[in-house]
This record gives sequence, structure tokens and C-alpha cells, in this order.
Amino acid sequence: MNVETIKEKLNDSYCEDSFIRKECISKKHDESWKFINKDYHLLLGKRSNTFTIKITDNFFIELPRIFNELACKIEDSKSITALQENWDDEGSVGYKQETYIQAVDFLAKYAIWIWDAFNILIDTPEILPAQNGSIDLFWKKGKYDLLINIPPYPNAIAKFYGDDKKVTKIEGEFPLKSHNQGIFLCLLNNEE
Amino acid sequence: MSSDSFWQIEVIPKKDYLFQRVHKNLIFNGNLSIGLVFKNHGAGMSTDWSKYSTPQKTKKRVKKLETPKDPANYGVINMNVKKVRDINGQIVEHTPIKDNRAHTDVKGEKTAKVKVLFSRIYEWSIKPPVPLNK
Repeated sequence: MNVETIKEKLNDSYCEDSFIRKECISKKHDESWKFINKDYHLLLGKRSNTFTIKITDNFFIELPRIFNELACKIEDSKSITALQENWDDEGSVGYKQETYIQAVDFLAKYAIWIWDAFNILIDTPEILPAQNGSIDLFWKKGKYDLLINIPPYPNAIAKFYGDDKKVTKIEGEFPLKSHNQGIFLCLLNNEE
Repeated sequence: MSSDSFWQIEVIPKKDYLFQRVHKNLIFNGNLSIGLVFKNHGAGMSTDWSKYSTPQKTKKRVKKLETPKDPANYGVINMNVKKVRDINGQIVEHTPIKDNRAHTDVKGEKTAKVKVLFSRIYEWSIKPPVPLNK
């Protein structure tokens, strides 16, 4: 996909998002939405065939069924929040529920954004406990590796590194609120 | 000699290997938690030089730590010294201590990039038992 196409897609995505926002405003008092985190209304308002993953009593993630593998991975990773102080016998700290929510919330929104904007189903990353209460999203694939470190809450600047094991390398930081990180596409669109 | 050791500090050849113990719980849902394995403890990432250790010795050494631990909970990975030195900013330094002549620190910041590159060069010498979280 060339740069111009990506720009066009980005514009399309912006328009579509705006459309969904308008659509959702009219639905905001609908009882059927009450258990779903409000940000997901914006992204999923026009879908019906979805998975709902309960993260806490008042935080749910909803994913279209095409994200079956990702939904399973998120479900499996929920045990991160059960890890207590010194869970590895090496003095590692436990994980705040808010940090875990930051991680899976970013991941779900990012996957949906890529799907909506580019029709690309991203590979499913590993969701791993990391240093000082942070959480890693790690894509270890044949053609590329990408590591995004989600900081412990309330910190909200993620660090990342990725490369295609050849010449393409990306490294930096980004605020978790901006899930529309087109920069990762140079790796995530790298078919096996 | 280092200040707390009576062992001579040596230059580690690039063909040699470093052994590092890994607690079974660092295998999370079947995957190595690279963010927790490839990190510094104080001066650097603590490893053992293959000249004076074996994977078994590295595993059993946890019994002799200040706070003794059960070796049965640990596995051991190995990394080639040249491959470690090829990773940005990583310095392999023999830092023997009284109870462990093999002790070697891998100094240098463990950034996201460094962790990814470490994840490409390690191999299992002894796999840990299956952890509770799968």
C-alpha cells in the first residue's frame, strides 16, 4: 500500500468515524448500550455481530467476530491482574487493573481502527507482564517483531520498537489515547 | 580483581556463552515475558559465564542466594557472547563474586529495541516446569 492510498484511507476513516459519532449521539440513551464502555460506542455503533469480553464489572470490550483470535488472547491474558507482589520470586510487582485496561483497550481500538481504515486484520500479539507493573504487547512473527510497552497507570505514554528483520525499523513513544497509529502498519501489513 | 571477590576479572571470548536462570512464572501463557527476563538488576543483567558454569550449576545456584530459592522452579537460557555484544550498547563484563566465579553482568540500557533483539538470540538450555498460568 503506497503513501497516497494510506492518506486516502486515513481521510475515509476520519469521515467514517465522524459519521459513527453522529449516529451514536442519537443512540446514547438506548438501554442496550449501557454496559459497554462509551468509547466503543463510537467505533462499534453500526455493528451487531460482536464478542463482548468482561474485563471488570463496569468495563467491557466489544470486538467484531472476525477478531476471534484476539478476543481469546485478551480473555487468556486477564490473569495478569491476578499476579501479586513477588509473583516470580524475583521481587516483581503486581499489576493494576487500570494498567491492564489501558493495554487491552488500546489493543482492541487499534485492531478495529486498522480493520475499519485499511481492511487489514492485524496479527494477534502476546499480552505479557513486563517490568515495573507495565504490560508488553509483543508481536513475534516470522517477518517482523514489534514490541509495545504499555506503562503502569496513570502513565499513558507507550514506548515501542519494531523491525522487519531487514531495513525497516520503527522506534519511539506515543500517547495511548491516539490509537490511530499508522506508523505500525509498515510492519503489521507484512504478510507471512 | 573486583572489590568483593578474590577471583581475577577476565576478558570473555566472543565464542563463549552466558547462562541466565528464568523463573517458571516468567513463561506466561506459553510465552517468555521478555520485559522481565531481559532487564537490569542494579549494575546489569546478571548471567553466568560458560567457562565457569553449566546450565545445571546456574539453576542450582539459587539455593545459595541470600534468600534461597527452589531450583525446581527455574529454567536456564543461554546466549552467545558475540551476539549479545552485537546488540546496541550491551557490554559483557566478567564480575566474579566470592561465591560465583562465573558471574557476569550484561550492562547497558534495556530498551524496547534491546529486549526485542535479545528475544532473537536466546535459546533454552533447561526448560522450566510448566507454570501455574499454563
